[in-house]
Amino acid sequence: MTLAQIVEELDLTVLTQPRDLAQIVPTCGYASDMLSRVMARGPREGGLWVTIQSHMNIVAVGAVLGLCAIIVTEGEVPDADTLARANEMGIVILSTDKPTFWVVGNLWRLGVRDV
Amino acid sequence: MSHEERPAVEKPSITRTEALAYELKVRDVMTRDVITVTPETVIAQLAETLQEARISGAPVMAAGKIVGIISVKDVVAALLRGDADAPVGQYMTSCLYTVCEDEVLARAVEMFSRTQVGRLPVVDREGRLVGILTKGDVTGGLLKALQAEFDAEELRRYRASHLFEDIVSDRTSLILRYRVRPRDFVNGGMASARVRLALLRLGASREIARRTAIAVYEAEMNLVIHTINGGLLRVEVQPHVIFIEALDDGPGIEDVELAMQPGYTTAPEEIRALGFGAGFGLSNIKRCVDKMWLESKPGEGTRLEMWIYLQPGAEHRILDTVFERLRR
Repeated sequence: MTLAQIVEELDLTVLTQPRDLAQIVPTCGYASDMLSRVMARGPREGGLWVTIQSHMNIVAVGAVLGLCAIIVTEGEVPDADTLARANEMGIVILSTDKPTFWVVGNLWRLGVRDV
Repeated sequence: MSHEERPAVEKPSITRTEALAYELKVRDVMTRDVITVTPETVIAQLAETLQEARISGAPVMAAGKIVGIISVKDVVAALLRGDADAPVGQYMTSCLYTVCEDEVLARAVEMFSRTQVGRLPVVDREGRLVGILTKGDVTGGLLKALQAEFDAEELRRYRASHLFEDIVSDRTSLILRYRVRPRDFVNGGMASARVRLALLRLGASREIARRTAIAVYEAEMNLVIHTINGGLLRVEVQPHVIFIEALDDGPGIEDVELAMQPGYTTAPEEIRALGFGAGFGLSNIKRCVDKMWLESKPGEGTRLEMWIYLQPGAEHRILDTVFERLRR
């Protein structure tokens, strides 16, 4: 399941600059709003992270873990600086009005699994 | 991706090439020296011009304005009718599309597919002809940009990864230093992201880069969240070991043993609401590094030292470093 297909199926908004989403296949998925939990349980490199957090530090977490994308849920929108830094670090940021539970349920349905 | 997961119909999606089409401008890939003709130029003469210049079409200009475009296809049509002496004006396409030089390439690609034209005259903001764009220019430009991107990262990686081989000393090391400011949640975490990139460029394995970056991240965020004046991160990369130090001047940790326990936190509520300070920082570090040393005095500050061995057996080599420190 490529990121492009996930964006299409879940009707996500791509907030970062256009990239080759069809070439990105998330290796796994993880959901948490506690940053150091994300660090500790660590989605594998190339994984997808679902969170309600939208502040600048999510990019650092994503970059440190080498994640491919972050899905920000419940209508939270990162500010322009956060998106600029995500672009710089090569991390795709996607958003949706849907809650985390809905997003994760659908990712699972599409075949994305946990660590 | 296994083929079970591949859907029967590929959904349209954005490729890296398409992304580049949004980054490159028309002027970056267009042909600048445009050969033009006038409506009065005769077809036979045009055919010669096209052949000489090895091009397949040209804009038609009258009084400094673009009035049409003529291509090999039009020439063939004229010749088939025995019209070699007809003026270009009679066979040119006058319905004309132009593209502005500062438009993104994607706009030109969209025009090519919508209008079915083979070439687009490129104009500046004042409408003056400054170049011409064919589908070939677009493809060539994109390929060149892709290659340049690839080369740039390859070159960086090559240069960096040879650092330790090219420079000979008894003990070579590269030291990365980062100043971490207190309560700076905007830049907090970026030092670790940069350390990861630096290590990858230096040729470290992805696993080593990841473990180091996680450890540095937790140390960095501890400095951001807990210290009075921020602190200093120092990452020393040696051929066999990565040695990381996080230093601050207060407030210090009351009970180091308690602080090491997963889930124990002293972070205030507003910081925890951002998702920080869950109390897993130090235990995360312990999991990622091969060896750690935490020293703290309340009122004085904290020194956290971490070692990550790059090769089995590197433990012996770093003993030197440890002994050296003990002697101080």
